[in-house]
Amino acid sequence: MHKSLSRRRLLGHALTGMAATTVVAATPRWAKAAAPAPIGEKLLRSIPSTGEQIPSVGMGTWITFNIGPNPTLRAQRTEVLRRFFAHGGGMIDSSPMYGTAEDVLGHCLAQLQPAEGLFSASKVWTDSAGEGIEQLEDSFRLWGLQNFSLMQVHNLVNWQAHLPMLHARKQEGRLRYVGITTSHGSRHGALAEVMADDRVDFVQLTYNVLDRQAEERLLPLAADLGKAVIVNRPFRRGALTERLEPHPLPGWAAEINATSWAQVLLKFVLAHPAVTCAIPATSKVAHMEENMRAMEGPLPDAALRQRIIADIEAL
Amino acid sequence: MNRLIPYSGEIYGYLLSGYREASWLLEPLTILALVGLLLASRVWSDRHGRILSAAWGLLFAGLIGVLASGFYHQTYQPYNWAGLYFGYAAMAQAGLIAVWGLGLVHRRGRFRPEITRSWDSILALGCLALAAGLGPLLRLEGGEPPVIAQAVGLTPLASWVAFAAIAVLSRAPWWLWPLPTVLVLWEAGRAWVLEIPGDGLLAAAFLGLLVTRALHGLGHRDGG
Repeated sequence: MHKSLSRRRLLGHALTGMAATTVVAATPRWAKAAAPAPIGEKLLRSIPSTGEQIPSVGMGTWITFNIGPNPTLRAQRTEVLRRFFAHGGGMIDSSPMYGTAEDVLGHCLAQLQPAEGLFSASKVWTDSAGEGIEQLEDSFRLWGLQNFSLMQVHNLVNWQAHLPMLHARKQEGRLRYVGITTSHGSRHGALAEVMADDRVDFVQLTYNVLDRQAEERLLPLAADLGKAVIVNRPFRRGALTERLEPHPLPGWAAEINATSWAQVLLKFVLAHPAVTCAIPATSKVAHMEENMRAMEGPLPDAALRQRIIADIEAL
Repeated sequence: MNRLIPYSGEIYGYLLSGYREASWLLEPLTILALVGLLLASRVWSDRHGRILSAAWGLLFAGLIGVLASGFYHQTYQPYNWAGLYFGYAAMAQAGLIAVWGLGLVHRRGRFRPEITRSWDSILALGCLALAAGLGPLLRLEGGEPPVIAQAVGLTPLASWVAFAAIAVLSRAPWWLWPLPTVLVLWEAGRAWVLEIPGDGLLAAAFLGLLVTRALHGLGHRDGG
């Protein structure tokens, strides 16, 4: 979708979210048992390189799924995932850097058996080219998957070696997409260089209401080059929601059907037309419900986005 | 620092309690060994200096070796990749402690804890008591998730503080301090990120002992 839009035209949509496609998300049968509330229309976004549509809110696993072998905690995380899929969730993003997260995900997915809907995303994170291949095979084993939807080079680490390897796996049909990531607002210049590579379908970066550096160069560039964009740390690793929680929601939140600060923050991110998917992390079922509802209802327009920034910066 | 801690305080509590449950006997045995060796050092410090130094060296080399393998590599590393390197550092430190305890580098160089009424001696004994007693005290609270409580002889902070206390009492040489200091500084950062006051207190105790040793001149007595 974005690929057919020029940067000017894209920006001309004035951040209204018009580039988004809304469809009714079908709830998989296996997830219905635990679905307590009706699930509305979900905001999907297209992957520019193929046109494939994915839910615009996914799930990160940094810290929240690094829980080790404890069966009680694993059962809790399985419920979190069940709610994620029940609400039409798709993308789950992890990394070998996240300790036991991939192992825990594999366990949870085995309980749920989500044959449809899962958009699996992990990363290769090592200086060594040989170890990169081992990490990839480990990820297949830990997740219990034959194929990955997306495999990314984590934080640009030795991307020169990993990118050809991942592209070769894509040609073999074991990966659908290849991507590259950065986080905490660093190395944007290097990321911009790698984005020009035709083998890259996805870029992942940090973007939220207070960390908007990506707006200057990377998000417009992604739109220009036809790259899908995954946004990590939409809540600044929980710091933003923690900071905003004591304050009542402003009146304008009703305009975008937001009932929580988390939804305001996610809708702010999703309203940028270059954004394909945001991946907040949570270990709580209630927070997962809240996050996924951000895919419902209108997104803020350019004027409201500016107001959101001003109001949150003032708090 | 946040980027280096890929787990929550809740999970760290489960990690510590699971490890303690699996190796619970080590903690009381370590406390008994520490008390026994301190008493023995007080009574026999001159006549059996070499034997006592070897006993101290082997006790701490063994404890730090278990810390490297049992804690850092087998228990902690699955949660945090950096645990692999912490384990290697602890293994190296275990080797250094054994070398010093057995008197292999200096004729007079060995562990000889001397308990006096000086402030540094009192501080060292206080820190030793803190290392051994804080964990059990915190665990009286109980509940789920488990309280984050270190265990001397099992987990890093309490074990490093116990080592540092004996190192201060023995005027151990400077080269026994850098590796534990780096590891404890990291632990202090972890305690700060995860907001764990008990671990912060132990880290502060270690740093206090380090400063104490520095004020008295590292390696002054044994030329280490």
